[in-house]
Amino acid sequence: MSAAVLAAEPLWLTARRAVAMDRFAARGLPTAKDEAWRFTNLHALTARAPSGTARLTLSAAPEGVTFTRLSTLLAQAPERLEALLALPEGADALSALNLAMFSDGYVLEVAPGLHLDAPLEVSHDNQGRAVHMRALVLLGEGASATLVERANGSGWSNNVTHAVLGAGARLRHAKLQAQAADSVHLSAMTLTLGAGADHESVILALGAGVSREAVTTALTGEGATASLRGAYLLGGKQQASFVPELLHLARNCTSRQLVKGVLGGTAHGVFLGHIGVPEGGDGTNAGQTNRNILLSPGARVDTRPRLEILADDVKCSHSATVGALDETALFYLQSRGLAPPQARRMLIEAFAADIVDGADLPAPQRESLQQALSFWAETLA
Amino acid sequence: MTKLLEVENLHARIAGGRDILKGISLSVGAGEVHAIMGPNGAGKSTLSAVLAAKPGYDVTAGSISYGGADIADMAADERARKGIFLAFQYPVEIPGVNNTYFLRASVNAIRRERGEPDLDASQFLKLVKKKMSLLDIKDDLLKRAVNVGFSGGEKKRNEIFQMAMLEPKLAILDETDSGLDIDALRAVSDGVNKLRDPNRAIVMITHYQRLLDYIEPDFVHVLANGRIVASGDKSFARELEKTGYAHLERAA
Repeated sequence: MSAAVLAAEPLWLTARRAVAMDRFAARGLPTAKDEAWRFTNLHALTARAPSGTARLTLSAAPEGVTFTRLSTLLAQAPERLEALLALPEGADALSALNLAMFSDGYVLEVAPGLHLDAPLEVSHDNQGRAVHMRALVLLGEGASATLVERANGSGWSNNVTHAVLGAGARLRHAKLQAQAADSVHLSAMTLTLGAGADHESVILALGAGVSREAVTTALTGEGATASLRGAYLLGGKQQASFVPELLHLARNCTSRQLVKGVLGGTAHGVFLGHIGVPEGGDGTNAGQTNRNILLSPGARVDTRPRLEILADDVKCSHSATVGALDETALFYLQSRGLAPPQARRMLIEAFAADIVDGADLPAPQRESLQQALSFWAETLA
Repeated sequence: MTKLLEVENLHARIAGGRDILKGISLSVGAGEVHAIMGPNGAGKSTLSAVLAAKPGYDVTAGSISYGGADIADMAADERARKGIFLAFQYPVEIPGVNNTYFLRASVNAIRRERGEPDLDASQFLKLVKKKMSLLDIKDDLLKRAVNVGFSGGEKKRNEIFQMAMLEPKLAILDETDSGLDIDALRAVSDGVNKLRDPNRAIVMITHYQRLLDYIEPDFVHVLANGRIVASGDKSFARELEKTGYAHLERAA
């Protein structure tokens, strides 16, 4: 049986898909025994949705920029993708499944030295299907861009994004995941940062019944900087995991992880943060913070910050907190006439707002994320 | 005619504890300013908490009626919307909530209760400017998060500013003078005096007589051991100044 997914795909891809499918079959879906997945309930995946392609909307590409569907580029210029569509060593089963099955996605490529002021926008809606979306983000040396991503609709997603930032490149990435409550959203993003490159991701995990945001950043060039700002606002039986992994592979790199969660109902939040500094990662400055507020006795958080440091000259910090809304503040707001839901909403928003307020985004995009947070805070209050 | 606030034989406690208020009766009419004085532990803060319906307190006997209706079952926010205002002894810092945003939500919650339309941003700012000039308050307080990084004096002035904005019928000032130096005390007192109104009752709870030098009450009560042990008009305050209230406390 041929492993081809697209009608006209290059042979090298079909061959790689077959290898990837073998890898997936050998490994099987992650289970509770896989540390990085132990809190993600994948039972929902066994109920199969028809596989297909997401409705994908991309904003127009400015001069000097490739911003196009992956299927289009595969048909027109597959040689540009041959080195990029590969299964990395150590890729997990779902990443392998993605390579075996993806039918579309997008490619963003910005030429060296090009600065894009206007953000590029991509939105995807699974329309009830199971979708393996694959994305490539390539910023040449000294290039800069802002990418705003929105995941809507229902279905299940197994998305893989692979980003490479050349020396001195600068990427701002904002993602709003607001899929329907019956959805499963699994996302794995891997980033490689060259010397002096600078990346920030702001990820809001608001929708979907089960979601997982894995962001693995390899700081491979001296002086690179990476920041992850994340928030999960969950109610009902929702479950969300953030799995950021920061690898300080070069000297004098800086990384920040700030992830906040608010959980009501019997929701379950998970933070598995990792900072790895192998020998040679001297001058590392890394910080990792996870803060949570539980709104109900049935809500739950598992937070596991992890540091692995083999270099000497390193500054690393990590902290995790789990608490409740401040009763004194609630009473203060109520004593000024605000009904309890309004008072709670104000405090939830205030708790989560700095994830977006402090993000380095153009004002309209920041405001749109603020509105989303505000809306979800209201549903939780 | 019934008074605005009628407290009768009020017994109350912190949930699970012993009674702290042991039979308080107090009658406050519109336009009146009452001072409630007493030593630490007399029950002053419990009284203000119970009047504002702070969670964690139980009324075990007696009644509180406000505007002719029993408010025993009325929650804090509803009391506030009906015109009861508590100026906190320790105003709460709320990081991330902008003072202006909070105050506008509060003003509009109270206006809705009165059947008045919401103030839009520009109407609200007009009202803010008017009240700020009345109280001589700097507008940089409004750009910050609620009470965050405010000095003790700024926090208390912010309480009085909120009172000016919310225009309550009954204002309870809980130890508003505590922790203020003399200039801040004067500024806060000036603010309260400007908010005296024939349609507004003020109950100020204080440990120190000096507040009464700045805000002259119509009535003075001494609270000791959970009861009001003596009451009088403003001349009683001057009398207390000479005699102190230790002898009344012993009598309780």
